[in-house]
Amino acid sequence: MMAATMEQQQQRPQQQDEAEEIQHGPLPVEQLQASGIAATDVKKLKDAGICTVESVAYTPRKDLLQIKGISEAKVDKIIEAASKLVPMGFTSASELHAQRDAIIQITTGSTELDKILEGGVETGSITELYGEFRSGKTQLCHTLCVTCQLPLDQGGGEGKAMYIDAEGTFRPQRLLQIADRFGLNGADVLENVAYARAYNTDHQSRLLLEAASMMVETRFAVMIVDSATALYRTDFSGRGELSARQMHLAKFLRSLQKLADEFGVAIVITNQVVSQVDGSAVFAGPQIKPIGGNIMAHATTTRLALRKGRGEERICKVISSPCLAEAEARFQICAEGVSDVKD
Amino acid sequence: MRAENLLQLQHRTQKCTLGCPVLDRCLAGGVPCASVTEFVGESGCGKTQLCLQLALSAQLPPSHGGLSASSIFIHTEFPFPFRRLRHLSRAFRASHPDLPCSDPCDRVFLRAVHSAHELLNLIPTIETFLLHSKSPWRPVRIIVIDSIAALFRSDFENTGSDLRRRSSLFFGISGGLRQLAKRFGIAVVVTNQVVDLIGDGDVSFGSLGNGLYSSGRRVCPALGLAWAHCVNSRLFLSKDEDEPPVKTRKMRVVFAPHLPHSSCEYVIKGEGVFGVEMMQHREEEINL
Repeated sequence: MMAATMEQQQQRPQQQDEAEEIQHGPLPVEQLQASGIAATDVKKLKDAGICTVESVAYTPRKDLLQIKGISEAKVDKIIEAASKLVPMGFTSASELHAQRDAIIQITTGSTELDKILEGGVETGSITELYGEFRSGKTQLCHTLCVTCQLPLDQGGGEGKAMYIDAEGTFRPQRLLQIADRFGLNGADVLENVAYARAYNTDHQSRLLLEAASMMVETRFAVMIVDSATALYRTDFSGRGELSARQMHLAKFLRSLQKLADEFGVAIVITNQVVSQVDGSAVFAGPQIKPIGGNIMAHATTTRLALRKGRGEERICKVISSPCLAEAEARFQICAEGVSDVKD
Repeated sequence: MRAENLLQLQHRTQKCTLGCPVLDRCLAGGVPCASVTEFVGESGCGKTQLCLQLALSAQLPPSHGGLSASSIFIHTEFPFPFRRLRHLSRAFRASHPDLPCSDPCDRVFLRAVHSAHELLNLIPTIETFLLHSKSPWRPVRIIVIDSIAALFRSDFENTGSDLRRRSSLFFGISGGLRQLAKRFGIAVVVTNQVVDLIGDGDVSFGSLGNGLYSSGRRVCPALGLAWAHCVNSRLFLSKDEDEPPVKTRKMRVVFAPHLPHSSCEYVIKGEGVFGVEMMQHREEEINL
């Protein structure tokens, strides 16, 4: 009796401390145990890729019922517990804006490029880079892996980077070169980059579940998917599979959006381009457009087009963004990564 | 009820200005209350910005085309464009300094929705909010859902059972929205995306897609015929041919029971979305 009471007394302050610490940011799904959900059920939720209380509240009930080992009664109990922890009402835009942390933006390494982006790559949203081969997409992604680890006052995100590689173009040695420029320790920089190679479109989607698990444990500032569409070109072919391809792509992008919103990560995806071969293009000359059509266009928050300039110079143009003007910037790719052009 | 009574009722239907007289003229006064209006368009046409502008314009008094009302803004795409709302709010405040609300964002109520089922379950919550909210900024006369397509395009497979579930959700959601609109005199606005029409060569598709073009490509609204029956009015937003600079966009009435077919051009500026007067004059000259 005495021992049990003492244990309870000890547990209470710990729980309070935990609650205070976790007030900001997503709540780990283990918080549900305080509401009476069994630890085994919590583990099943995590195995299904649901790692926060918010994602429990947002997941449709039918999807929760799909998890093996969780009965209908348990699902209702879990949903009820999650709903109590996650506020689900209407909030005015003023209050929400005040509640949210100021939006962090991560420097690209080029002052001129940061200028047209009004500070850098925006966290909590998806930024798409598209362009031909050798236009600087992958180089910019490598630079962001390093700059996201910088302190906030230097334009960084004070977080780790996650890199999903679909093309096999990730080069750790490039990160070491870029780290030298910013005065960061090379070994630490590499340690803070989580790398995964994607081999097909289903694997690419499954990697997002593992990404969610890792993001609950530690702070990530940037997530790179290079390229988001390369595998779709090989896995789906012909007009007959176009509908299935677009549907699969829509699901993938929707999952990315949820990650960005839930963990406040800057999601940067690269996209390939395709030549327009319609008859009308004969007069206008060769034109290129990004793969993925309307599905890709609607899902990305900021869309940037990259193209080659003279020598090592590259040009970036803001194609669409809810709050950035259409503008262009020049930058350069050198041993230290993305930087301003030296005239 | 005689048709004459209906005519009188229709005359009393309120509309909410979009914040620009040129756009309002195209819509015969603005977005109608007690009705569901859809903006459909390609990415980058200004759907979200028009909705933000509408949510702010609703706060104007009726003498200025508003409703003296607050708005509920349900967003299904992330992140919500706070920065843009701040920009527009500042411009709105500068244009109308005598409003009772010192910060127009106080009268825009936000809610994130992640799935179609969540939206269906949210409708009773909206009703409770409308009836029992203790906010000093009542009433709410605008509900925006941006974008309805995002909920459906990524969560359903192309199988028979999923398509049936999808359609039943269409009708459940739109039925609930129409009830709210009628009961509380609310202007409901939803946004939709587009899909490209892919045909073989020059085969004519007749009335399919109604000949809608954006960025030089033939498109039609997403979600198909079932959803088309769920909205009262459909307004198509489009871009010109895909040649830079992409400045001018066009709004076109695809169908609406209370409007003739009409269109106008508009541009997106830092202060908001504004119609282009020149084209209006040109059209009037042509009609003469």
